[in-house]
Amino acid sequence: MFRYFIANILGKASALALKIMKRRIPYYPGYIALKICPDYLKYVKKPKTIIAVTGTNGKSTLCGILNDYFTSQGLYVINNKGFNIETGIAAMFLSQKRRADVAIIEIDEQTTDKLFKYITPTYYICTNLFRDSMKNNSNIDYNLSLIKNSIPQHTKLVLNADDLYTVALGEKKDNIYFGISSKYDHGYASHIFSDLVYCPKCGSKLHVKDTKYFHIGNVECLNCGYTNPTRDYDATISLEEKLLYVSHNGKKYQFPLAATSIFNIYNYLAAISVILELGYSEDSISKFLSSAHLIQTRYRESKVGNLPIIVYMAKGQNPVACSSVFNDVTLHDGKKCLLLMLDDVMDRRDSTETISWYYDTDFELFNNKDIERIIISGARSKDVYVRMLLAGVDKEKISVLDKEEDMASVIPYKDVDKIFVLHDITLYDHSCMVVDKIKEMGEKLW
Amino acid sequence: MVIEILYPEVCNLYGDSGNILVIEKNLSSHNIIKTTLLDEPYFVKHKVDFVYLGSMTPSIEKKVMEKLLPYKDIIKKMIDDGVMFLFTGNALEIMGKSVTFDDGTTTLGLGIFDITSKVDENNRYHSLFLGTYDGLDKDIVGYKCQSSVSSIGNDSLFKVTKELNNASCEGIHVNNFYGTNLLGPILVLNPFFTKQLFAKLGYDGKLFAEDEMIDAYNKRYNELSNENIKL
Repeated sequence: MFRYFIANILGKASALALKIMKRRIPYYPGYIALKICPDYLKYVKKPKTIIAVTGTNGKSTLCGILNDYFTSQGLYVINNKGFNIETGIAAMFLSQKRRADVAIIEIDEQTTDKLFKYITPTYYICTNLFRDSMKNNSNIDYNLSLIKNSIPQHTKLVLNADDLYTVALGEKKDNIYFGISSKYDHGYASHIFSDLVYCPKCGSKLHVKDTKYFHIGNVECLNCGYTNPTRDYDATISLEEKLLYVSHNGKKYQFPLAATSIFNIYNYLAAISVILELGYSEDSISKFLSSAHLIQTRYRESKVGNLPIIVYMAKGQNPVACSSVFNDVTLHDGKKCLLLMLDDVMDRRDSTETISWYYDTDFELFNNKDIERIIISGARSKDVYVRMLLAGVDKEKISVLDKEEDMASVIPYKDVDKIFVLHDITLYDHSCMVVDKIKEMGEKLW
Repeated sequence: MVIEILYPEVCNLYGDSGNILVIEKNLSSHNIIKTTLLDEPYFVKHKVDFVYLGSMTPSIEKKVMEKLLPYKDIIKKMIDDGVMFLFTGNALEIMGKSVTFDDGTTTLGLGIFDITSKVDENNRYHSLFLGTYDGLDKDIVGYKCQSSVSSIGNDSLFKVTKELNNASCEGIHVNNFYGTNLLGPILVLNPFFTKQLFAKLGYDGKLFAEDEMIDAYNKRYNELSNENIKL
């Protein structure tokens, strides 16, 4: 306990020092606390409601939605905001001014065993499981086993019924399943790979009834009958009405559709499921969703003249995240100009980045007549160019540049209806700079 | 010419679909057979000139080993007869005596090469790679991401110039069997090697996007040659 008190004092002091120095290293106070007291998380004041979120994609977005909702209800919420390993989680608890009402904890798949030694979440959501970064996550089998072997006994799992890998986490428990039973017309099935081809039970080829994206969807084994579990929160999407209908226990709820991307609809559905489980009203959720927006670092829109600039984070080394964003871009109307910045800024500083994930990513989606120009920049731009050509993209449409700074000057402003900036998670600041340059250039034209 | 791609629907980890893309883009005038995990390999009953197998998850690796084990004598004879094989990533392990997986189980390999492998997912090995290939004046570039360690004897494919573990050799090369742990995808990252490999199959044209691949190769080679590169 003595170590805990010292860790608390020095951790908070380091947070104050960072604030004075105007340095933004949110996990650092947690690093200090854990250095002094390795089992710091055992002693922290734990809120009554703890919602943990893991999975390959959507963790930060889902946590952001939950954080915003509970805050909108007047509760004191703590959230580790993407800093999803032990240090970030410790820093989150350090930041508590008093015992919080709710903790929303994003957890990296490889941190689950360390965290759950000390913390038992009320609800534990797994968004989805896919192949991910080769370096960090090895393969989907490995991630599945890491999560599965660390689930606390008394936590309630909230699982994506449309992802049979996620479903495999909860085979022995009374779980809550969310999913979308209606067809989704904007999905595509011709991915360069699928992580789920054969039945996990008998090994026969799975029959895909409908695909939402990658292996997420309604599937059935025609040999042994294995299929998605019954959805406790069963959603139907109406893109025309911009509504999400959710059936639960015989009751039908209706919510504004706060996003049109299928992967974000799943994020909203997971949030709705947990919020309803906690007994909050349909009205409060509807009111929240009618003005909800995704976190700024993931998606933002602005304009130059009348030309929309849409910025997506396309998480590098993560093929499903990138392919999903690529697909979303192609669903927009009109002629498009794409600016791609997919390098990992940490990697390119002193190494040469692995690019094998390009060949797990659906660049084939850019072989599309509505894409007028593709501008690639960064240390690996020549590799992206080769990938584009192998995907069948017309080389006349592609510009290859070394520096992000130059991208704005080659946009055919008058020939396109929308500009898309797709950037890696580490290039958020660069994306802001590029958008500023686009506005600068564009304003001279209008 | 008949080219057989084994189990592409599941043996496509770490970007090895890129190798398949290169094969398809350049050798499309030939008969390319894609064999699924539920099919009998085409080479069992037909003459095949080139067999490709890519990286896979450990659970798939076990299945592939079980699927191919009954055909080990046929595969051995094909190698002896000079049929070309390219096995990338952990596909190479299948050709060894056994693989011991993280769950403690051991699965018998085809036993064609003197390799034993042990998977340890918690201690994975990552490194950039620079090496040489006999008879090619351009170096080989690539990456390694291994959750298993294989004890490889003689008959290496590449000599190592740079790698984190200071190994001296990489992969296996026996007759026309080419096995390597290198990822990349190797055929995309190494257009000169790819060209030489395809030439052995009788392909003497220019590779699809060859100039662009060489451009990307030169940039990567220069980076890897830098003595300050973080491997």
